[in-house]
Amino acid sequence: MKLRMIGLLGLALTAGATLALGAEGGNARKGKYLYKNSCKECHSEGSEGGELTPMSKTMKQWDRYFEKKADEHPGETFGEISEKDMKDIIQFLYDHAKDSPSPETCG
Amino acid sequence: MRNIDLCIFATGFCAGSLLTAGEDHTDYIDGPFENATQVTAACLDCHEEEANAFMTTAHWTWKREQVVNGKLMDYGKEMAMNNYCSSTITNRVHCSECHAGYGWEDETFDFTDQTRVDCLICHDTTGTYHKDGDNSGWPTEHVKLLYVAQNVGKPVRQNCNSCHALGGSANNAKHGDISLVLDYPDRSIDVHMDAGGLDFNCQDCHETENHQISGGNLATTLDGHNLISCEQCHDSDPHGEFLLNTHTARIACQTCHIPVFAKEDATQMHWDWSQAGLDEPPAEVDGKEKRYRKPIGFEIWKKDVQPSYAWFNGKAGVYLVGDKIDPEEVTKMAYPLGDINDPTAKIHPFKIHTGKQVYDVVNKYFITNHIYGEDGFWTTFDWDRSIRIGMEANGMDYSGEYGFAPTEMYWRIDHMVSPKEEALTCLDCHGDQGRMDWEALGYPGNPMLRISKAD
Repeated sequence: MKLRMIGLLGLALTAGATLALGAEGGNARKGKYLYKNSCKECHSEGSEGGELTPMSKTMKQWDRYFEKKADEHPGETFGEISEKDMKDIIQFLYDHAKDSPSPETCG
Repeated sequence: MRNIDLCIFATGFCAGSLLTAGEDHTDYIDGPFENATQVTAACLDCHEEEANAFMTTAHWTWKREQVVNGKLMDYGKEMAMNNYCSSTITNRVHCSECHAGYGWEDETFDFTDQTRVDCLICHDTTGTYHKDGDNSGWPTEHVKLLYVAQNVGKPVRQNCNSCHALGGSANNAKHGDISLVLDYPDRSIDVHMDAGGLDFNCQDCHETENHQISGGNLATTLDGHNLISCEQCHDSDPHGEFLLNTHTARIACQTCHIPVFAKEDATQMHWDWSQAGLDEPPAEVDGKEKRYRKPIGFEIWKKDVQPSYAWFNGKAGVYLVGDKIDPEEVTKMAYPLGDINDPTAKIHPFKIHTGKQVYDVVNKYFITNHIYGEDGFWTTFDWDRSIRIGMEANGMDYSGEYGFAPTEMYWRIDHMVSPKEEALTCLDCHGDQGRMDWEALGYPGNPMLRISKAD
C-alpha cells in the first residue's frame, strides 16, 4: 500500500508538472486506446465509477483533477497505470475535453 | 499454413522490437531547432542515403511514370482529380499537409532539396507530431521538435494513419477501411492489426525496401505496380473445405473476409458540392448520416457499410483533367478494370463514393476548382471567382457557365479483416437475399442456382 501511495504521489506530481501549461507531450491517440482498456470498465454508464468521457470536464477541470485529486482516485487499476500511459490518457482527456477544439466521447 | 507461421513469427519479432520504440536518438540529436528543416539536416548527418532513396518515392514526388488509360505518362496525386476536393493543383497549401515534405505550396518547391524531406511524420514515436495546420506541410507550432527528433523509430500504424486515415476532410472520409480506429484496433476490427493480438504494423504487409513501400491506392496506382496480396502469407488453398478453396481463383479473399467496412468510425459515402455555400442547410439534413457543412455541401456518412462488388485485375482507370463528360451520366473518377472474361480478375469488394462535382457546361469537362486560401471557394463561397482562378492556374479554358454533374469513385476495401467466424457464408452470396448483383457481374444469374437446376 505504501509503495502504491508513493507511486500515486509521484504520478500526481509528474502529471502536475506536465500540466503546468495544460497537458502536453502525451500521445492522445494512444491515450484513447488506453482509456478504453483501463478506465471504461469502471467509467461506463451504470458502472461503479459512473460514466466518464473526455467531454465530462473542461480542459481546466481535467488539469485540476490530475494536479490535485488524482491521488484520491480509488481502485487498484488506476495505481497500476504506468507514468507514460497515464500521460497519454491525460492527453486524450484534455485534447477532447468539453471546451476543446474537438470534444469527443470515448467511442 | 507454413507461410502464415513464418509471417506471424516475423511479425512477432518485429512487433517486439517496435514495442520498445526502438531507437533512442538522444545521444545523436541535441538541437536546438528553430525549424523543421534543421531537424532533417541533423538526420542527414547519418541518413543521407535514406533521404536520397525516399526522394524517389511517390510519398515525395506524388507521381510516377505509369500507363494511364492506355498511355504512358507521369501520374499521381500531383495532377489527379478525385471525388473530394477535386484536385491539388491550386490548393497545395492545404493538400501538402499530407506531403512528406516541408513547404510545397506552389511550383517553386525544390524537389532536390533534401532538407525539405519530412522524416518525422513517419518516424515520430511520441504521437505529438502534427502537421495539420493548413501550412504546406510544416509542423504545427506547438510541436516540440527536439523531443520528437530524439524519439524517432520505425513507423507504427498511427504514423501512417495520420495521413491515410485523415485525408478528405475528416477521419475515414476517403478509404472507408482506413480510419483512426486502426491506431489501436481490437480483433473485431481487424484480426491482423489487433493491438492485443498479432498487432501487425502496416509494413508487415506493405513490405518496404529503401523506403519503397509496396501496395497502392486504386486511384493513383493504375498499372498494378508493386501490389500486395494476402497470398504473401496465405497460400491459394487456405481453407479446410474443398468447396471454399474452389472460390479462390475468382473471388478475392477480402470479398468474404471483410463483410463490412467503416467499423466504429463512419465513412463519407456521398459529397454533393452543388449545395455548398448555402447559409441554411437543406431540409433533409439530420446531423447524423445526412450532414451539411457550408464549405463542403451536403454529405452522407455511414458506419458498418456492406461493400459493393466488382471484377478487379489489379489495374484501374481514371478521369483525367480535361476529359469530356456527359453531364447526364455518372462519370467514374476512378474505377477497377477487369470483367468476368478476364482470367486475371477476381470479384473484389469496394466502397463506391458518389458525388456531384462542378463542371464547365460549354466545354463539358470537370473544373479544377480553387477552394483553399483567401481567394478560394471555402473563403469566398463565390463559385465563378474560384473556378476562374483554378482553371487559369491549370491552363484550361473556362466558358463562364458552370453546373454540377454526378460522379462516383471506387475505393478498394482491403483492411478491417473480420474474425473468420464473421466471414461470409454460402447464403450471404448465393441465397435468395444474397448480396451479389450477379447480372451486373456478368453472370446470367446466381451461379449456384444454375448448378442446382442442372442437377
